[in-house]
Amino acid sequence: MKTLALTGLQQAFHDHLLNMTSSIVQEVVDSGGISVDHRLNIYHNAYRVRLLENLQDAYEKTFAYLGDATFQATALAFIEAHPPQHRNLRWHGAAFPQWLNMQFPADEDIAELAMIDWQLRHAFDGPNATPIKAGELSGLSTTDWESVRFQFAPTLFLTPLRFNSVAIWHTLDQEQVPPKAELLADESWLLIWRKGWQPHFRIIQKIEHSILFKMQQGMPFAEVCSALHQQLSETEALTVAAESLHTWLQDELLVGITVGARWT
Amino acid sequence: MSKLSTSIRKNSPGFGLGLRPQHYPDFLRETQAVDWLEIISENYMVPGGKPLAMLDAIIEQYPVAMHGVSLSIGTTDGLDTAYLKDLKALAKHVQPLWISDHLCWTGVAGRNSHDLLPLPYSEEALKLVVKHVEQVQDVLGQRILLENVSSYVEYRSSDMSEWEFLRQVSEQADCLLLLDVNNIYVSSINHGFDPIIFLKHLPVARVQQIHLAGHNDHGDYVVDTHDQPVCEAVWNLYRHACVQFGEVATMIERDDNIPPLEELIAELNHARAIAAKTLCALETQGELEAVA
Repeated sequence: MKTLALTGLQQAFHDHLLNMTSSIVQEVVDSGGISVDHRLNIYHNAYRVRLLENLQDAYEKTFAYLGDATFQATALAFIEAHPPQHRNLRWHGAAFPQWLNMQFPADEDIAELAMIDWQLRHAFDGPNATPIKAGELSGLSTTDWESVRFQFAPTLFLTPLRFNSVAIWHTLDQEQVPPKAELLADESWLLIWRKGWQPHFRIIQKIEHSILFKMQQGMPFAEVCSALHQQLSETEALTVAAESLHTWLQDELLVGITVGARWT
Repeated sequence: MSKLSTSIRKNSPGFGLGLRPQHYPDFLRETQAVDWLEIISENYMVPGGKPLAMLDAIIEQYPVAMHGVSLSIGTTDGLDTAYLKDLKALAKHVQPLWISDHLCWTGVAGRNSHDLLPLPYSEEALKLVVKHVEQVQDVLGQRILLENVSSYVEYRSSDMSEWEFLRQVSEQADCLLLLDVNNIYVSSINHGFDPIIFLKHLPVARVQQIHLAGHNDHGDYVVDTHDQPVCEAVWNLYRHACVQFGEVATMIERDDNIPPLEELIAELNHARAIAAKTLCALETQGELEAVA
């Protein structure tokens, strides 16, 4: 019997891994001992186990939230629908939160928790940057403050938050029974970043989000304060902006200062 | 390969371990009784953060070899140039003892299995692998090491043995070999060949490194899990490898069920003792033969 050329053999083997129709059985020698099917199934099984373990690791809290059986069922279905395409296993699973959103449309908190898992992992090995120190701010002149803009840590991730996923995450982290999923009462955002070598996250409210968002877009600090003044008194606006700046300094969220450049 | 050094294998740096994140604190707290460490290249092909910070601290203290799992040297898709670029950048940063990966393929048609899948030992596969190794070595500017993988299938299209394939690849592409003694044992059980014959047919001058690991014995077949201590049969095969290849850089490779570092160092010391005893016996035998 004629054998497949190398390309055909590799495609047949991979098709077998993916549960597709495959002629690979005819390419394998029946050398006794265990059967050809059994031999091929070792690879078939190892493929799923490896990818499943990777998802369990990347989505640690989601795994704990859903439990073994539910997580395994949906993760295996995801693996069937999303064969890895990247050379580095680290990146398989990026689409898992969207997958969970589709699989559990009535429980969107699951996808939101998964998004936190994934973004924390992203922050863990995201790009480095040196945080600025408080002393660098005290060196700014009054004129400098009129144009100063700030650069944020490259690991910063900001997204709207709808559920009490942060509370769920924390109780799972303490290996306790998580609270029932609930919509948050106030408009909220989740801020994720890395401080030192450790990923951090916290919920922020409308005012801080508004300041952070504008400054992320490159708006000078003085203009952000002016914009705030439209909602708050001048003193309140300055206090809120200064407190936010102080918190971000402590959190190592600020990594660069630009003075004098024109804001457009 | 005119750019490459003409001496084939480098002197052995001694006995090492695969670096695993669980052991970062041990290595950074105090100097450990290992001569060198092997990193999984892909674990450090990330933008930044703790993995790279730990790596920087480690390379300050220990010689490091880079071991990859995703080169996919035997895929008919062709080499992934973006991956190679990242690998080269990491190598520039680490300045490793050497760079290794596996003699296998990991995916095709843009899909990746993240498994080390066996190649057929055919002229067609040989030609492809040799071409790819030459391309990789040209990019990296150094010889790479290729490791034998454990396998559960043999293809009808193979027209030579695995050891002949390894020999041909290393000689035709002018690369080096990383022998995983456990993988030889696992495949020998699964395919019914004599592992000693495997060892005897390899080019001694090209064997740069040895991996020792554990597996799961299922009675009529063996699965390579790298999650157990090295078993006696593999230690015996290592004795043969010491006789065959002399002083070769040897390490314990544990990928799962990671024990405390002390256990792995104890296992490594067992490897040291076996190598020392075997090489000493060989020396004595050589002296006796010289006298006779």
